[in-house]
Amino acid sequence: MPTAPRSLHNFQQEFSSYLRSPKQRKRPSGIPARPAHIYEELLFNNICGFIDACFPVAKSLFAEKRWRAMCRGFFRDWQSHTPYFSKIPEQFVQYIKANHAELKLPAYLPDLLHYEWLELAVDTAKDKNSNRANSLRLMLNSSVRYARYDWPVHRISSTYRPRKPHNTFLLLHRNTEFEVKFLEINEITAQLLDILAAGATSAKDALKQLAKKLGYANPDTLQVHGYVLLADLIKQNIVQGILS
Amino acid sequence: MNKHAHGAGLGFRRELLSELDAWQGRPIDFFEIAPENWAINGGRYAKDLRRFTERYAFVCHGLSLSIGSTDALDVTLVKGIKQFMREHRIGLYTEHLSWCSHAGHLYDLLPIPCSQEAVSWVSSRVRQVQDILGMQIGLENASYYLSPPGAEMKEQEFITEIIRESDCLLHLDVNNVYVNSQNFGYDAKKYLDDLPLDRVCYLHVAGHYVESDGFLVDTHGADVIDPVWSLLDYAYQSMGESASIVPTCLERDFNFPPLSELMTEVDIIRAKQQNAGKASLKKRA
Repeated sequence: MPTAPRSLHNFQQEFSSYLRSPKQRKRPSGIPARPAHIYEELLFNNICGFIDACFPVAKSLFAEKRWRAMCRGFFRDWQSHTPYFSKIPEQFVQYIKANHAELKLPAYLPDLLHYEWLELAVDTAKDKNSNRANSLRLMLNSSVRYARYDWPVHRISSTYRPRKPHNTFLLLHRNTEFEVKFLEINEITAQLLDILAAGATSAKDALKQLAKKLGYANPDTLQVHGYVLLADLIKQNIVQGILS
Repeated sequence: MNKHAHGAGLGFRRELLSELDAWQGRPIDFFEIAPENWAINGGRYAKDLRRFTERYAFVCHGLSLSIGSTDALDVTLVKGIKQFMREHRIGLYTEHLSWCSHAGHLYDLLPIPCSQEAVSWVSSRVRQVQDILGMQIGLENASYYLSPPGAEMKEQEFITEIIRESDCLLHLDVNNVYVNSQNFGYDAKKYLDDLPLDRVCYLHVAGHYVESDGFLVDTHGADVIDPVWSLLDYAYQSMGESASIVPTCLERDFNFPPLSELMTEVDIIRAKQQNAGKASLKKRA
């Protein structure tokens, strides 16, 4: 491979830096104002379109100017290497997570953005293990995502902004009609899901592992309640497989 | 076996899906798809796409390859596209002769200076892509709103040189030729005369937007205008016999009218292709 030509590199360096931050940078020589302005708008509006579409709740919490400043910061400062457009919001989540303190943004914002992004992640998740409906080795449906948040993110809106942290477990999954469903779960369910996510295992074994994790002396303590829980998760297509 | 696209096609868009499913009118020859919008998605996206790729021929038209960038080529993306094309039996992949990343993606297409060093650089990257895919790709003449400093040749020469040096094919976007000719004040037909039209593997027509000061922006959000249709006629005439074989796609990315209106434009493409075919037969006879 030849090495990248220096002047082409320099042109791209100068022009891209300018387009990422036109107010703070000088327009490169040889670039007329009118077309530069067209590119400035095209690129930034494009990025904002992907971000706005994914985060309607977070967007509703801020004045337009503040929200746009966050989008601008992302475009200017964050190197997004994904070629896939549907992954731009994930990059925005990472940018805010890394910078929210410095940007003096609400402490719950990284959690809220993650939660809003999770809906997109579940909606577009690749299908795997679709033939496991009759297996005794239980497995999480490949569209399932769950997360533990410090804030009650599912209740946040323009009329409710939490003041205090509150441990919240949320699960999102896709039903057989491809609709994204939301579920608040408890810590024990989350731990059971962790066990299944780590690898396919039988119901009995999964519940034994869970009892051990929770520190129960008798590993069979959870067998009755656990089966009810697993049956419900299977019914909702969150877990795939059969109990016996 | 790949399903080879021919005739007149339309961009495959989620916004059109329900209408396409219900469509009872004249058949469509193929669809165009951006792998960057579909390849990594499962669920309803994968299911809907599968339903169509089983019935129709598709063309892959990429957005994020950034063939003109001085950043490293995204080999993972190219391999992903190869896999995607195999899964859906797609036989043609084209990309824009532009760049869209520098220290991260910019997610839009920017012009390359028409310099000799850029010819060599782009050509080496096209060859690398073709080596991975095991096939020739098409490069599209892009629309642009400024000519980057450092040009050493006309754009037509730039395109021709790259096609020759990399042994790739030409994806001719007629609307882009028109938009650029208006914004930069050149003769669109003369421009076409300078391109290697015997290397055309694919064509685009589209609508564009006119700014209040007369600047044309390549938005793909409006009907195709008459001067662009005329330019398509001219391109077909110049291409001769191949005009009736090479697929042409109507691009529409937003501001969608009812499908029947888009299909009227697709029909215009098909009629022009058939006329061009007849004309070249007559010429030979």
